[in-house]
Amino acid sequence: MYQYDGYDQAFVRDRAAEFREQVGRRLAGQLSEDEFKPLRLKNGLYLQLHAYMLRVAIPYGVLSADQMRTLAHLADRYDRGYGHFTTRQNIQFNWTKLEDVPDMLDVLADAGMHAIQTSGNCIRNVTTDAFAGVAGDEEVDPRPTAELLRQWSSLHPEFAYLPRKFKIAVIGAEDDRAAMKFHDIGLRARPGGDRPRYDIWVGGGQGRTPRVAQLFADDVAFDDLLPTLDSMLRVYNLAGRRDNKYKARIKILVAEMGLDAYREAVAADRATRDRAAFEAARAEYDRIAAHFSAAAVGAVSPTRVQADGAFGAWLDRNVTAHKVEGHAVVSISLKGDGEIPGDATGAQMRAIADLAERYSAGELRVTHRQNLVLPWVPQSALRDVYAALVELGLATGNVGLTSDIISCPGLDYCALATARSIPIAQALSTVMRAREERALAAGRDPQGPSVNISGCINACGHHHAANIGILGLTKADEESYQITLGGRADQNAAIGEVLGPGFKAEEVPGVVEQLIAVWEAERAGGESFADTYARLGKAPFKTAIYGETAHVAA
Amino acid sequence: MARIKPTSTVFLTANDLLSGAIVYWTGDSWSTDVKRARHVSGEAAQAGLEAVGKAEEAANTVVGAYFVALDPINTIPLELRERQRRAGPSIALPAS
Repeated sequence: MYQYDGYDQAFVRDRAAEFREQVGRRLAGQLSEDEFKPLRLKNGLYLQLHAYMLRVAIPYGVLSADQMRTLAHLADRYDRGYGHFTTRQNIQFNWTKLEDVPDMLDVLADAGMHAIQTSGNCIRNVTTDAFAGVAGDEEVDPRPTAELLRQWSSLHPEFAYLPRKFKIAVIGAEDDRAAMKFHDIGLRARPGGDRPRYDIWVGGGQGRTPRVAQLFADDVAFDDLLPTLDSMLRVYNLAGRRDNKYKARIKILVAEMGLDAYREAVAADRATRDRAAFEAARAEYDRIAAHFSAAAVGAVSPTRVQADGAFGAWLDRNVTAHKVEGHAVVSISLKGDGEIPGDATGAQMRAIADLAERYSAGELRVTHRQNLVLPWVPQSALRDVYAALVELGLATGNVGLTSDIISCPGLDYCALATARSIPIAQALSTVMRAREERALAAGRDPQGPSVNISGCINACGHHHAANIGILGLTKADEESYQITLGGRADQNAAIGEVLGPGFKAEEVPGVVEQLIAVWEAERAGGESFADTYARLGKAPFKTAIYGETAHVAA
Repeated sequence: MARIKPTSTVFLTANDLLSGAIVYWTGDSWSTDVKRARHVSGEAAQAGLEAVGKAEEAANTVVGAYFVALDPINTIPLELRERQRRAGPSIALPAS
């Protein structure tokens, strides 16, 4: 994995020192809250419903065992003993104190980590495929590109005050495991000789105006990547709307200008720019790529793993093919029965770090679906890893199943939320886990639709991108949950459609069960929920729900 | 600080600058105990509390001071968000 050099180390230390000074000036009354707020947000510090929340970047989802221990230390020493892994490969500490944050940033800097640009109207933490560098189907490792973009975008002076936040994701395989098309800019890296070539997608996003990204340019040479992104950002920075925060994302600009006009504006800007400014990118890419070029493990003889019982079910769901012979990619579900999606205690983080050290070349990944990954596990160790996870209560074999629910913190924590999302996720998880266990016991495929939950229209819980999306709203000062159907986050990205009037919290699990029953009755062969929905549309689902459920539309 | 209609009963709340903790104005200081929140109604009383909120923000003791409207009968906040904020997370927090 990438190791900070002296420059990187000095950069994050200097930024931590700068924030310490800014906090000092705030506490001394030299900065008002209005002046301080954009500064703290640029360092990932929010004021949430109950307390300050610090959001720490896990760039492209990669972290070492020692970095995970650092996160555990922060959770135990400065928070209430846990943290929340997010859909953007960050971790959030929910109960931080302003006076502690400079110390927390120092601790992070010592571990080669930071909270820079995890909030604010700037280029946010660049995300990627959690299986980058290890996935059996990978064409190009997206991590060197993601690191290059992290360096390019960190404290970029021209893009420090964009009209709105800006999210970039990079993938390097056909199978999209990073919801790439739901980002402001999405990159698909392809093999290109010494360095990759790229398809560039623009204008995707969720929130109140969900959009699937459009193809801006295909087969872009490496040398053109940064000049193109630079001009794409510049046109957005200058022309993006600043009069209305709800219309300020690049998706609105591209929609209002039209993709062709946006392309022309970007080309016109590029023509005026000096390409020499980007000449360093080649050597820097090569330097970064050298950190990732060697696999962390060598090929070994494949092991025939006896797949039986619960261990077999876990293998089926949580273990996937590896690039390196004799190895496997192991996902650790943070979605056990009734648990809070993405939450892990300090003790769990330490135990997982120990597993990474023992079985996974000291490395871990964070997925955008709020799970963790041991990326370098020898097949011969799978049974031992499983046994260790059982001991830790982290062996739920449900990755990619319905109970693997994405959920935002919702109104239990978030100042912007309009309804709670975690209790809905917990209740659904129990119902769906029971369904999956019944299917396994009966020898049936436990597969089902994906379910994501957001506690407001900002859609941090990716409800638009789920086969069954749940959106929590406030109606007449009570919580009401709207259901969307047919969304998907993979290479066939689609936005879910609203089913109809909303439901009370306690009705939601039953409604989801009914929707699944319709799919099971109507599906042709082994058809997925999304495919059945694409074929049949909303009608049979709507009839089943609103024809049978006696409920008062909220 | 948005004024709420003067017939409403309100309290003044904010977050403590240093800790971020939710605090309530008791009449002479801030408390984390909602039971000590001072309830007021009437335009003059609200104006007085508004001045307190502004002064306290300027003095860097709290951030984001605002009024919460209360149900006149049971004095529970009318808005869902405020009920949730007052009550704290509704879930069992993960224990280390």
